[in-house]
Amino acid sequence: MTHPTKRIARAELDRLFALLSEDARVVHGPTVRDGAIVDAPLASVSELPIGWTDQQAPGRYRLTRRDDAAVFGFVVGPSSPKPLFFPPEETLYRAERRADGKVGFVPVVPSPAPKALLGVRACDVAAMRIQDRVFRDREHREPRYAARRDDTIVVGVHCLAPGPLCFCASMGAGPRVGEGADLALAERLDAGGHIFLVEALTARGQALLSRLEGSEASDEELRWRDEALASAERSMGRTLDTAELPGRLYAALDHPRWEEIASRCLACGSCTSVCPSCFCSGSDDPSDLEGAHTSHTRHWESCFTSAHGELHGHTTRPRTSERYRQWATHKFGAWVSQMGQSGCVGCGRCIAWCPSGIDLVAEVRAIADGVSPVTMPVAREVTAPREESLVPRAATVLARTVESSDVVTLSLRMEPDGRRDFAPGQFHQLSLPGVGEAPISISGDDGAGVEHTIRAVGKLTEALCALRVGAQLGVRGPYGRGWPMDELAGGPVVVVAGGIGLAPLREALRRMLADPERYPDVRLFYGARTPEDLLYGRELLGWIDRPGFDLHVTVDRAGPTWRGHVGVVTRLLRPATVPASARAILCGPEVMMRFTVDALAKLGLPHTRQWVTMERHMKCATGTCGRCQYGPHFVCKDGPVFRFDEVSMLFGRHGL
Amino acid sequence: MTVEPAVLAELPLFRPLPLEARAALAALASMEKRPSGFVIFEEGDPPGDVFFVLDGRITLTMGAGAGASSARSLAPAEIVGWSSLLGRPRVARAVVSRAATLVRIPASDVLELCERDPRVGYAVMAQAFEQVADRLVDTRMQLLDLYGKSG
Repeated sequence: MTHPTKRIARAELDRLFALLSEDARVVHGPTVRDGAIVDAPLASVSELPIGWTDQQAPGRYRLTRRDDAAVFGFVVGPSSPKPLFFPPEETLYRAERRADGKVGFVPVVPSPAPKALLGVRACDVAAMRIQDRVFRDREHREPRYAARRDDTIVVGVHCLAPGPLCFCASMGAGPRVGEGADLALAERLDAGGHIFLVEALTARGQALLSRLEGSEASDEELRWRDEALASAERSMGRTLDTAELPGRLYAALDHPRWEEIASRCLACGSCTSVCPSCFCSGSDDPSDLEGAHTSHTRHWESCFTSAHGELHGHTTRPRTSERYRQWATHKFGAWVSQMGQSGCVGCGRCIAWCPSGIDLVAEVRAIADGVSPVTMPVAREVTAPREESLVPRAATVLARTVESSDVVTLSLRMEPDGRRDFAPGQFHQLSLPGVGEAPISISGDDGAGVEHTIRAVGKLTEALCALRVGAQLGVRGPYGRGWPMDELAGGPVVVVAGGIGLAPLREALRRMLADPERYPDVRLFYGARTPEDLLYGRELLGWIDRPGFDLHVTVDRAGPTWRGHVGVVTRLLRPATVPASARAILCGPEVMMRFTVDALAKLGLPHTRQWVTMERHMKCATGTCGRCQYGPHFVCKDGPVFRFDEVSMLFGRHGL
Repeated sequence: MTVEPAVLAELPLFRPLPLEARAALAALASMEKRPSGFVIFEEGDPPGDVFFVLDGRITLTMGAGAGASSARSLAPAEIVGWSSLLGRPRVARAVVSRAATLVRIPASDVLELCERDPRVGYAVMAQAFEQVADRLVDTRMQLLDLYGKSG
């Protein structure tokens, strides 16, 4: 498609700058600072890196003078537009917890001055598109990101002289500036003079272009630009074969190269810091000394930190090799399933700014070249985004039931309307101001409130378990994909629960038992540590005589008075107790589910008739913090319930 | 009560045996019904007969008094007292926890049959090994404390 293109003189760049600055718009662009070209607010064109260029190599970045006055005669510096829209740290909401136990939450949404970005490379425009997809244009619209990002004018610059670390052409991100920019500049500096070809890519760009002094670009000039871009595409410093790359990387999860890379990788997170598309984040709940006034902040978080894989006080990815693998497989693999495109735009920053000079392209090639790909899930269809403020609403504890020595069920009234809409298997984000927030499965609807069964395993869950009737807490959600209630209807259903894993299954069981016509044959196999740890004892006893319901309970160890089964829950699964035609839903520790899936498969239940629920400590529950990534899936959005064949290639593996 | 060879065919340990071997063993076996609470053997008892659960439930406990702990219950088709096949003393106390029907066979007869026909012996021991291996895996899973704090 041919866009309207003007030829303007170098001096006309000042007019463009002035146009961009109209309506108190802040113009951001590249400038030389601290020995690097960084993005910053600019006062004039003169602050652009005129006459500078950069020299890049693995682990190396240096500025040098050019022998001309090119304005955009460099590749990319360490900074990208990312922090303008997704700042390294920001407050999501303020919260208070009063002495009477009541809580309040006040969202913090910025209202920044509108921005114009001048001189954005194609790779960074592509990265902005990716970030838009993560934060704004998919299922959830994050209002803080949107407030900063909406109404931003983007003036891109075609990359006519890519650097030695560049591979945007392989990633389909450049060198031509594409969708996402309003104007695209091509800088020409030769014996004929110093000019810019300015191409309008949007109506807004067209409006700006019409106000610039210049002539319509000639055919020769357009040909020059296109040939220069084609030449740039051919002269990329690096190339990467991306055909079926996600499947090839996931087929190579056990490649010895991951360990070899770990011997060089410092796990410092520099690569993720300079990456223009990395979006993972963590959160904190700083408070005043009395704990009455607090805030909930979000901060960039690298997948190279132990915190990023935190789950119940340990980390799911303890080794550097696992963290590097997580980063690379996510960037080049999982992203495609999650967002419909690769997460890498080929800017090469992670290579230049790696203190060890690890070359991501070389590593990915060494690992994935020649590997037969596994089948990856197709990208989920994007639904219309709904506003997600990430701010809890208050909920009041209606009832508190002690289930065992360390497990409590809270029935919560959602303020202000008492709504109880959720699907069995979904979860809420429960929070206490100044303490924190965590995903907690919904364990039922008692007719008055929504129940949550919580085990005290850390600071937050201990505080939640200690809440009394009338106290308040924060709730977000419900989130996630629940149990496949429709698919379970009609035939035998096997329910296998381990420990507190019965909680996310309870409402599914209640609904099935309440509708025996639809669910004529339900069998619960429940394992717990000891008889004292069995949950919902009274309720389970009340179910025993229901027609079409079988209950099998076992414990790991018991005193001599226990007359029930003793041993692992898988021992209860036998041809006599599990019909081969059954569908099964499972919840419990991962290792228990792994053994259970195998046992059920031996009894004739294929992976396509088994569903498991995964546990990860997500921070946002909207697919934007990256904490709950499980291979190509987000546990918060794609799960927590998965049909087993969706996760079978990952299940039971360490370090994912 | 006498035991039909067909009953032994239902037990994994004897399933691989030729018909005549099962018939010979059946002739040596007896069937007994035991009420809940019946003690089949005590921890530390010398080796003796081996038992197989036809129905009901047997619980194995270790230790005595308040410190006694049940670590496994045995379901239909499972062997009770496998250690006797190795000539070892009983490793746990076996108590009927739900009224049970048991097949009892002197361990010495099983072993004699095995020695007489090594192919039969291999098949029986392979099955016994399988059951003991399953229990080992189960025990390891129990040691993981699957449902504990970190789970």
